[in-house]
Amino acid sequence: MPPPKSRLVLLSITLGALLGFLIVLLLPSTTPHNIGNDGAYGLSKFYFSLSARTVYSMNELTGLNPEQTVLVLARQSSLKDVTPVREFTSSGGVVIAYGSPQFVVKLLRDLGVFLEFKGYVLDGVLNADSMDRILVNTSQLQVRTVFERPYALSGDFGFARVIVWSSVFAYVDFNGNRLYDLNEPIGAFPLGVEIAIGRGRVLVFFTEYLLENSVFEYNRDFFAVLADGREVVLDQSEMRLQVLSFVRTLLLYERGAISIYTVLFLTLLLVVVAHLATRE
Amino acid sequence: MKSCSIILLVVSVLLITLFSHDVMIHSSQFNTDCLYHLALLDKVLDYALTGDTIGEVMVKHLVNTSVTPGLRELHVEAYRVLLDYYRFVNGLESEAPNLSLLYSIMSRLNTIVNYASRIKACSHDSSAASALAVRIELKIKNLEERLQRIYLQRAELEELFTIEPYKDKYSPGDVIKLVVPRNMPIVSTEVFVWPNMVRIAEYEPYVRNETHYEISVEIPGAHLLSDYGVRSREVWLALYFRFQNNSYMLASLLKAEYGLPRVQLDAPITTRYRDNITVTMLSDEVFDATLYMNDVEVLNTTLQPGNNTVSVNCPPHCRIGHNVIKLCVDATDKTIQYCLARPIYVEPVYPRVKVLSDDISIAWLGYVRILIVNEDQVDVYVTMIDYTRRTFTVPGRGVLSIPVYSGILPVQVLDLRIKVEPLSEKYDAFNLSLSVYVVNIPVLLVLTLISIILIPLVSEHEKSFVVTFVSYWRKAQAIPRKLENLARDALLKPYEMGLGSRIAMLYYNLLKKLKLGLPRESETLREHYRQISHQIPEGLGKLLWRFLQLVERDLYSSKKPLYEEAEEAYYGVLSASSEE
Repeated sequence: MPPPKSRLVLLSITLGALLGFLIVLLLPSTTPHNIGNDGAYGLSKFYFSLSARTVYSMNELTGLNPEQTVLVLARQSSLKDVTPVREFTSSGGVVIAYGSPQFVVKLLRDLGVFLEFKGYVLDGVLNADSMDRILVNTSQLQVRTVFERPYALSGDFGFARVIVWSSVFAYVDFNGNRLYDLNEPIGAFPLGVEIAIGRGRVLVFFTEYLLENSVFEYNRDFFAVLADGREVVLDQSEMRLQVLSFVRTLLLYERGAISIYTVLFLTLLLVVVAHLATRE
Repeated sequence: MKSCSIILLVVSVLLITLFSHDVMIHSSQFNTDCLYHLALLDKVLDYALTGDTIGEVMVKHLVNTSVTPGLRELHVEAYRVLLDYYRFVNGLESEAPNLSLLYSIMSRLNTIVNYASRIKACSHDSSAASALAVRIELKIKNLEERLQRIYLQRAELEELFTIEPYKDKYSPGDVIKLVVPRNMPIVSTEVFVWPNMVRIAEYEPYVRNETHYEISVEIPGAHLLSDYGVRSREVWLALYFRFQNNSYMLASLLKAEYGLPRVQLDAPITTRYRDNITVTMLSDEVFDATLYMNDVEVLNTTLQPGNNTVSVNCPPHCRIGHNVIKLCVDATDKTIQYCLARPIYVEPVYPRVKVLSDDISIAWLGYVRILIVNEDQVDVYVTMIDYTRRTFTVPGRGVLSIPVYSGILPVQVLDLRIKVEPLSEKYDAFNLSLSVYVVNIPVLLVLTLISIILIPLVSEHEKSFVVTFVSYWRKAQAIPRKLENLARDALLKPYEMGLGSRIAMLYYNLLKKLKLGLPRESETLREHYRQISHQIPEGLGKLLWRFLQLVERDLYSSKKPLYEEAEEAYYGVLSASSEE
């Protein structure tokens, strides 16, 4: 005898939920700066090789010891409130920030440095196989550094100290056609600044990718110098905006209680499925 | 098969969509455009003509840069010429410049022109490339003329004069002696900043001995260069001989190096508006310096060795928010002009005024009261930012109770915004905001009263209303399954509960099995039978009619039939139904 319709619907929903979980778990992430993204623009290598800790809200910064911590802010979207970062830095924390131009420009503005986006910087001579993966000069840190998708900002740098420059072969691609045009300036452009706040400092780099998988090996030493042995904390609060990435990150990459809940939930689902399937 | 194909198609589209993002990221490839190389060549030539050493660094990299295979040889050759050019320019500082190298460079300059002409052809913007190629050709001619001039001059001057002492770098105040044969008709030696060619000094020769003149040239101090707008730490100085016929000849290029002043600037990171900002300037020497706040001059001072502390009034020099304080130290003989800056965040000063209210306020008469507590000495004006714009004065260390209209909803959230303006210039105005949950008791009471009156009236007719509605609705269109089940349960329950006829239940069960539908709530069993009798065969109809009579006896008669009798009728109808 076929099972009643109500049971079929329930069974389908449960199986659908299980399938959904499987899809969430198995599909590769393409979200930039996500620790669960094994692709070029994910932070999986960085996260695992440095055993970084993650925070999913800026409010979690209050629980850290700033003097022993380096906070990595790699984001596409802007921070709504920069106060926690400012307080973290004032107490001796080091912040390394980079990501999309809108994030970096807004962050700098919130810290009192008013700059404008001019265009992406390409370098046809000193690069790592691609014109937008360029070798940069770090004024004091004598280590190899590669920026991927760097961009130029212009304006009054004020009290922000420039610490990274592009090579003299770089140019700003104003129109984004990835070709050099006659009105596009060639020269060394500032690509990173240091802003001292209280006992700490914020290092802002004008590049979309710095510690992501595609350039992590190049920049491992650079980061080690910047981190100076501090505990590495990685901001993943942006992932909350992308539900699929956020769930996958929590399920697969977060250690601790959340994984236990996940296992419990899946077990419960399996029990429900088994019960429905075997009921007469 | 068809459905399988559709599923496969959907899955394929889903997977392509999911993975396409990664594919797009990795498939972007870049080709270096020839116009870019042409522009680099133009830039390098600019540096070569102005003598900027960055040009040499660029050439060293460019000579090893990969280009289109067909252009590789020409590219390397062109940049080797420029590399040799820099070797020669660097050799100018030495006592024995390599004239054969100079000659070799001049003879190979055409290679650069050929290279420019070749890469012009593969540029994406041909008009821009042509313009650049013409510019490059002119620069090559310019370079050639210069090299020729140097070649001739050096050939004439070689071994004619000496520089004492000869060093790679000179410091400000160093004195250099040029020993020149007396047969050279030199009027003076002029010192220029190279390559800007800003003339900064002139020295006349005096007789050293019977055969030679001597010209003493002093390396200028940084403050002198600063007057001419030169502020870099390393400066090239060109020494030119001026002859009696007013012609000039380059005698030598010397590098002078200047220091940075050792000063520090300390200021608080945050301060309060109207507080004085204490700025500490640490110096190891006496320096003239200027202090700026937000690029406006605040103080002109002379720094003494040690800590120099000044107080800056805020305001007028600062503003609420981000400010930058900058110290610029003037150039001295040894050190160049130097500026350093620090950020200062200026916080506003608010009076200690707060607004108090319970999280949940109860309004009895349409108003709730909030308390404005002024803990400061100063009186403040308080303005409600709403449609009323009411203003109140709260005295220093006083408390004011303000009634706020609580609205007409029984429960709601009031978002209050209050502007606080101190009556003293020492403080800044600010806004307070507060969210209060308000429970309007009178409204709640009225609503409850209305409900109490309405509910019994409605409940009396509720069931019949629902029954009527459902039956009419069902006639109009098929009732959704769920609603039908609900209605059936609700309407048949009295039969089951009130009458408790097992035989009736058996009858209903039979109707269900035969899929004949159950009697409606407004139908008697006989009415229902008449409805269904034409849908079933006559024999079956008679059996069902007998069963119906048993049910009626069980329901209404005092002589109840046996249940076994009803079961017999039940199975009789079923077997007849299966035979039919």
